[in-house]
Amino acid sequence: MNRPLFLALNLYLLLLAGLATVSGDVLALLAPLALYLLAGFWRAPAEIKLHVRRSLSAERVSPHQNVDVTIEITNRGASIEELTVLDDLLLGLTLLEGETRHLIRLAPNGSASWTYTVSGLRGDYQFSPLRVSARDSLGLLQRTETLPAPARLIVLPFVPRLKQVSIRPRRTRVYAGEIPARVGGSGVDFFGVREYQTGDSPRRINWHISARHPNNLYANEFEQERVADVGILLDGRDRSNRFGVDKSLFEHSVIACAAISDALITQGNRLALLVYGQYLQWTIPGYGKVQRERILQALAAARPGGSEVFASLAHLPTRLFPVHSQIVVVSPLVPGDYGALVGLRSRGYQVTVVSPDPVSFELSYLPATSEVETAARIVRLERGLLLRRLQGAGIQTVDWDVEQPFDAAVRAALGRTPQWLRSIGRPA
Amino acid sequence: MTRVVLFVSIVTGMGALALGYLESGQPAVARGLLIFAALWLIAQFRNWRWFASIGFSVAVILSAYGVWTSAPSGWMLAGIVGALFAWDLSDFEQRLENAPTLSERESLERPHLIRISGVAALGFVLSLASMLFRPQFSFEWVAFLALLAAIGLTQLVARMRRGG
Repeated sequence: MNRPLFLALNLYLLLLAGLATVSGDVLALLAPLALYLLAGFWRAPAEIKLHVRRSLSAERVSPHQNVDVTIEITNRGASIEELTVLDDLLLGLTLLEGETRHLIRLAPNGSASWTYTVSGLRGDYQFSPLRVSARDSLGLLQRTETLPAPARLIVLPFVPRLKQVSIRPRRTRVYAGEIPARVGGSGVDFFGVREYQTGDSPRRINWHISARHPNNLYANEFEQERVADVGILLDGRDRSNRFGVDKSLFEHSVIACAAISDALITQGNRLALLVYGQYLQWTIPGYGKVQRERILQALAAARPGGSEVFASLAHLPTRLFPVHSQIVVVSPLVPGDYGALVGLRSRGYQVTVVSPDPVSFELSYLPATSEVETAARIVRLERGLLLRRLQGAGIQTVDWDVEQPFDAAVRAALGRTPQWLRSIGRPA
Repeated sequence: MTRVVLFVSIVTGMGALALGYLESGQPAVARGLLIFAALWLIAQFRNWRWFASIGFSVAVILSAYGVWTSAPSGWMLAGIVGALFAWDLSDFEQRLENAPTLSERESLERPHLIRISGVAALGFVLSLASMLFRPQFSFEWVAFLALLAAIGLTQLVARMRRGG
């Protein structure tokens, strides 16, 4: 119960008792209670005038890395007998050391500061305002306010390093890169032979062919390597990511996405990211380290969600991706996705599907009963069939058992064959 | 520190009431009060904070009843002051849980104890003085003062609930 009200009720009780019994001594008992109430009123907290500052030891960290959060409060107003400061801990962050709730006494112009340590899961955390409440010293009256102390903590996803991701989009950009451009010129891989032109290096002359045609010289041509437009599509739909109440493959999808983005942007490609879930979260195409940071921050903030509109991949806004570019779809896949993916392919995109395996994921926590095993075999067959049909439609697939390192899955499916193996016609 | 003072105030308050009732020839009530004091102490040990409000109300009712049944007013007054002290400290101890460091606790405990002691002592002296000197009022004056007190209290509480 409200303390002043409770005290007043007791006062009234004594007053009534005193009047009813016409006893001065009973009325005299009122004095301590009335004085207590008056003292609380006399020392009621004045207007709260506080200057609050929150600072973080790091604003951009990897998962479970410790971050020190420091709160500094300065009193610009009258003395505050009891000041409770509550800094609500955001969902996803774990308090490791210190306290987020403090009770202090602040003299005019007095200040206080404290630090607590948190760590967190992947996410983009915007700290909420501090809730402060000032009380009189007897705790009867309270004045509560929220004070903004903006701070942002980005916990970036874990980025596994991939040695090589080999893609072959139909169209490349003009800048030199690592993607075979299907155009002859200077490069590493043999592309063809053409007539020798003035300015060609004599080292390029193909002497075998030139010997057969005494009137002309012929020179070797190599395949140009350029950068390409790549769109990464992260499937954030609940229906493809969530299993049961608290199991989700989305974190694995994010890790896959981060790894592929990192590898492709390191190769110099122009990269864009689309998170397709509850709504569309689009990161515009770009190059280099700045773009890498943008994409990692977008991935940090990515959340799975459900939406009637985006329940299937059919509503994918393909116009966001340049014509004939490479699209990497990171999705556990559901049976209805086949049509949409083949549709992308038919529009001229080179499509690669990276699919965290939901069957092995579910099996990792389900009880090993015969029913579960039978169900798993059926679902695995269905999934295998879906992947095979996608491959048949010219879509590269990476089937990733999330218990295994992502690097191994990518190396097997998208690793580029070394030059010395390619020269003898052997796969990697 | 606060906890020690809290326990002392419970024992003192309830003990004073029990002693008053014992002196007025009501040993059954005195025994009941001692049992209640023990319950209050157990409740504090177990952090049942709500019990303090019940304890305080019981002390208010029994002190008024004691005065009415001619129990020594001094003991009754000591009882109500002790209960007020205990009720206040019980809530203060709960608030102190938000002060994680010893220095924060110490900076709050001392001024609070000084203030509540001052208030309780002044209230005790005022009450005792009015009991000793027994100012005589006619019924009209008593009724007027009571009405004034009721209106004043209502205004005060309303203002406090609005936030001062």
